[in-house]
Amino acid sequence: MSMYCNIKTQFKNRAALIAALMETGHWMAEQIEVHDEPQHLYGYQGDRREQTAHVIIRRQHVGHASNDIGFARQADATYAAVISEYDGGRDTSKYGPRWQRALKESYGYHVIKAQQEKRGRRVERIRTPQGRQQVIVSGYR
Amino acid sequence: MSAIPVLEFDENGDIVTLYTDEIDLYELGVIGGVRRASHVEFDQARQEWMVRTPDGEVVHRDRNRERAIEWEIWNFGPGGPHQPAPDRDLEVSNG
Repeated sequence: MSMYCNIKTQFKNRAALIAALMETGHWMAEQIEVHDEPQHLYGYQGDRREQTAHVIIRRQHVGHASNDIGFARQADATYAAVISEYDGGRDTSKYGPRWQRALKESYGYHVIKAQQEKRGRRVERIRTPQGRQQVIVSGYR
Repeated sequence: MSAIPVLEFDENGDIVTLYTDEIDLYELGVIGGVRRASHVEFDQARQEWMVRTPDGEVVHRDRNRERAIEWEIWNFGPGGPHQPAPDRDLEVSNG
C-alpha cells in the first residue's frame, strides 16, 4: 500500500539552504554570512533594522537600492526568510514569490542529494512540461 | 528494496510524493495530507499480486510482489498515469 503525502517545504538544513542561495541567488559562499547569534539587518540607506537573522546576504550583494536579505532561525530550528517588501513583496520583485519558489526547489534538491549521495545513490532533477521540478533518486540497487 | 518515488514540487515550492522511509522527508519540511494512493494485495485465486486503486479497480498484476510494488510506486507517484490530479495540491495543516 502506498500513501501520498504533501510536504510544506521548510528550511531546516542550513548547509542545503546555503547551497540553494548560492544557486538561485548566484552568490558566492563568502557573500553569505552565517552566524550562531542573530545579527541585525540593514536597509538600503544603511539604517539598522529591527529584524535579525542568522544567515544574511548584505544589501550590496542583493542589488541596487536593496535591503539585506536574511534567514532567521526559529524556535523550532527552521529558518524563516526575512525579505523586505521592496525586494520580495511583489510578483515582479527579483526576490519575490517566483524566486522564493525556486529557492525551495533548490533547497529540496540539495537536501535529497546530500542524503542520498552518502548512501551511494544518484540524484537528478528534471523540469516537467508543466514547469514543475521533479527530483529522481536512482542507484539504490 | 522497493523503488524510491519521485518528488515533485508544486507552484509554491512545496512537495508531493509517495511516502517513503528511504528519504528523510522530515528534513524537507512539514509532512501532511497523508492519504491512500493504492493497495497491493494477493489474489489467491489467480496466485498473483494485484495493484488496486483506492476505488478497488485492479490496474496491475504480477507474480513477483516486489515488482508489483515497484510498478505501483512508478505509476501512482508524481508524474505517473495513476496519480489523481485533484489530490496534488491539498493544503497541508501545520497543526
